[in-house]
Amino acid sequence: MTEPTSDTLLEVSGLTKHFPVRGGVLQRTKARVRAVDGLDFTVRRGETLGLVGESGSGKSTTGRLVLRLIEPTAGRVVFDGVDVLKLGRGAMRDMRSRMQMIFQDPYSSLDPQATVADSIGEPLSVHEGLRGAKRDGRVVELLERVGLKPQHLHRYPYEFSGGQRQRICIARALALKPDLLVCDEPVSALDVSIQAQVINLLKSIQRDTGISLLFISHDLSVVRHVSDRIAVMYLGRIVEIGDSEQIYTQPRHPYTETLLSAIPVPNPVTQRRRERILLRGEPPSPLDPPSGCRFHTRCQYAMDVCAVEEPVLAPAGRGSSACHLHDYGPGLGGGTVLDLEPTHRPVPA
Amino acid sequence: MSRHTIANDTRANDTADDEIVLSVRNLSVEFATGNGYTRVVDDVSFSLRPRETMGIVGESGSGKSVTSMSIMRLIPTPPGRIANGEIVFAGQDLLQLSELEMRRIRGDRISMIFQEPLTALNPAYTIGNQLVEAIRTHREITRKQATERAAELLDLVGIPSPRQRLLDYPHQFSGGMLQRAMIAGALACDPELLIADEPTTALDVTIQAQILELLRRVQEEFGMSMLFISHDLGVIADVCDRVGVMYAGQLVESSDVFELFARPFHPYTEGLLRAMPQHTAGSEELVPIPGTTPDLASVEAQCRFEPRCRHAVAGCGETVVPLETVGAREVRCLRAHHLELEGAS
Ligand SMILES: Nc1ncnc2c1ncn2[C@@H]1O[C@H](COP(=O)(O)OP(=O)(O)OP(=O)(O)O)[C@@H](O)[C@H]1O
Ligand SMILES: Nc1ncnc2c1ncn2[C@@H]1O[C@H](COP(=O)(O)OP(=O)(O)O)[C@@H](O)[C@H]1O
Ligand code: SF4
Ligand code: SF4
Ligand SMILES: [Mg+2]
Ligand SMILES: [Mg+2]
Repeated sequence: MTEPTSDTLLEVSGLTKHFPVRGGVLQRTKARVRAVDGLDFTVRRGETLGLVGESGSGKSTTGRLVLRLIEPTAGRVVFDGVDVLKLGRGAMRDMRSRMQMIFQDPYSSLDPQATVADSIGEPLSVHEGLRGAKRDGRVVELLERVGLKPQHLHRYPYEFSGGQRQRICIARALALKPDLLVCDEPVSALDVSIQAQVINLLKSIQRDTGISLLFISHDLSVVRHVSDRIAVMYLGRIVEIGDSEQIYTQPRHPYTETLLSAIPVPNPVTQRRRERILLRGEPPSPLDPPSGCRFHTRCQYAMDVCAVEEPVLAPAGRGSSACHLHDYGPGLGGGTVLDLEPTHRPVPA
Repeated sequence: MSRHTIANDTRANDTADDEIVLSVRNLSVEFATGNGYTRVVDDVSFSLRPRETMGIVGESGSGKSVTSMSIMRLIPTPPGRIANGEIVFAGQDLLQLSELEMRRIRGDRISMIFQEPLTALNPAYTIGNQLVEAIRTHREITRKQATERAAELLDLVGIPSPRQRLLDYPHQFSGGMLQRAMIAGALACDPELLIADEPTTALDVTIQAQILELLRRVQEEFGMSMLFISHDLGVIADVCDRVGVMYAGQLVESSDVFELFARPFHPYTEGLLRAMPQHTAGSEELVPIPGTTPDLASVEAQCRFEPRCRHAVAGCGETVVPLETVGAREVRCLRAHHLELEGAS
């Protein structure tokens, strides 16, 4: 794991969130969803950390915990040297202006009754007391920064396309010049041609402002383009974290390899020649994650040790991987899993 | 397994006109808007041969679902109406059938699966109940026989302990299992045509890979034709034999899948390929298509892609652009003969 330095903006350790599941007449807690189960990671200034994983792996919960929109069950979130979880109400409000969030659905995250000027201007009024022409002047600057026009100022959300609405959300998130932007699936609802526009916009804003991004997505091929480093999540845990190109081209964890192999390549010649790894069975429930390595019920390389002992994140190439293959069996010693022969083939669909 | 197997073997190499399973001709569909009607599908034509998978790709709102709902005669009328065209299936124009006649075809000879399997199922009935109902709508067999068949179908689509799972309610199934159950239902009466409208869009990529594999397998086993709708060129490259590309309600290009990706004829197809994240190396800027799709209520007769097209010239915005046949392909672009467009990398 990367040690925190003065360059570190965000440091998360042991971050855990268990949601109680209640049932019965007395609404007693019957079980716990282990949505996020002990995460450690850092984000440097000006860096993008991508967070990938399948639905339910805990990505959104992680984003909300970082911004303290929900309280963790355990763990620490240190932002620019300040322990966020220890802050009182007022201090937390000030802190929040430095960390902003944008969401997948640019439709529901804008108030349909509010004009663009009001939506983007709201944080400026609340935090900086700006009103009238002064506020609108700042809003126009922000609109232009995200590729919209001054004449859009007094329009309503329904007058914009999905991509334009996401631009409005980005402008609003940037209004207070935050140091960290948590992007939760910001392009997943957009068409591919518009997806590329929004990603290029986020990157160009990052070049200009030095903002850090925590970029959450289920799509590894998209995450690769925005991220300097990537963390891959499975059932509430980080299974691999490291340099973005390395994760994409030389994964150190079998789950990362599976994810990569499942993304169809837009070229029929290459796509039909590729070897595919078809995962066995259904994703296990986060109510009762498998023993040992949480991926062992579906992993094509699983060994006896995997069902018993939980692997920990250990250095592997330019990153870390939590997998016994590096020490047991083939003894990969930090190399890529692409070099391995599966011990047994997955059963076909 | 299939009642078509033998017939298909004898006609496998023959693609004469009478071998066409489905032919959509000059289909136009409109929806009532504030003042008058807006045409959301405009003059779309394509056909499907036996055992063929035809993909329809295009961005949100381009008319893919409206096209497939038209084939099933499921366009809500009003506000919608089929303004023009024919949909010829097994020698008859579906648009001329009564609702009763159409009901005999739907779910029997033509089946459909959707992006959100949960919305297509009734939460109050077990999976088994719903499968049995689907089978008994079209086949005069006992409940017991139908239950037997339902269990066979669940087994066929890869659901473990099928007999037990028949007793489950939809909410007890994961997204991937629900889509398998939907596929089982669609196969119940051994259809000649399966329409799959974004069947994997709501699923995780690893589950998507399983479902695509399953569709490929059952298509082969049942000898069906498939109309496969998707916005994802990767998925299209994986499963389709031929592809139609839709933009703003029109078919702008149709072609064999290998030819389309190797050398697109329409600038929009090229733009889509270039915008895919896989087109660009990790650290480089992605290549978007500038601008946004036009508002269908105010499109003109000329090329609808012109405002976003990097190959546009002065004449493009002025004339009506017809769909033109070029060998075995079709394209709607004035400059198609002059352009050397970039294919998949
Ligand atoms: N019931 C309806 N009433 C009014 N307009 C409709 C209706 N159904 C569809 N439309 C319009 O028809 C056009 C085509 O819609 P369609 O659902 O076919 O798009 P699509 O290509 O399937 O898009 P997506 O990728 O989002 O599924 C859109 O402009 C849509 O708003
Ligand atoms: N408020 C909540 N109450 C109970 N369970 C929740 C809540 N929020 C999320 N979860 C559960 O936590 C797990 C992780 O969810 P989430 O962080 O949304 O995943 P992702 O964003 O990776 O799809 C899932 O099993 C989800 O159902
Ligand atoms: S620890 Fe074992 S089961 Fe887990 S990913 Fe590694 S090889 Fe697979
Ligand atoms: S007709 Fe002109 S504007 Fe339209 S796609 Fe062809 S080159 Fe582009
Ligand atoms: Mg999420
Ligand atoms: Mg659709």
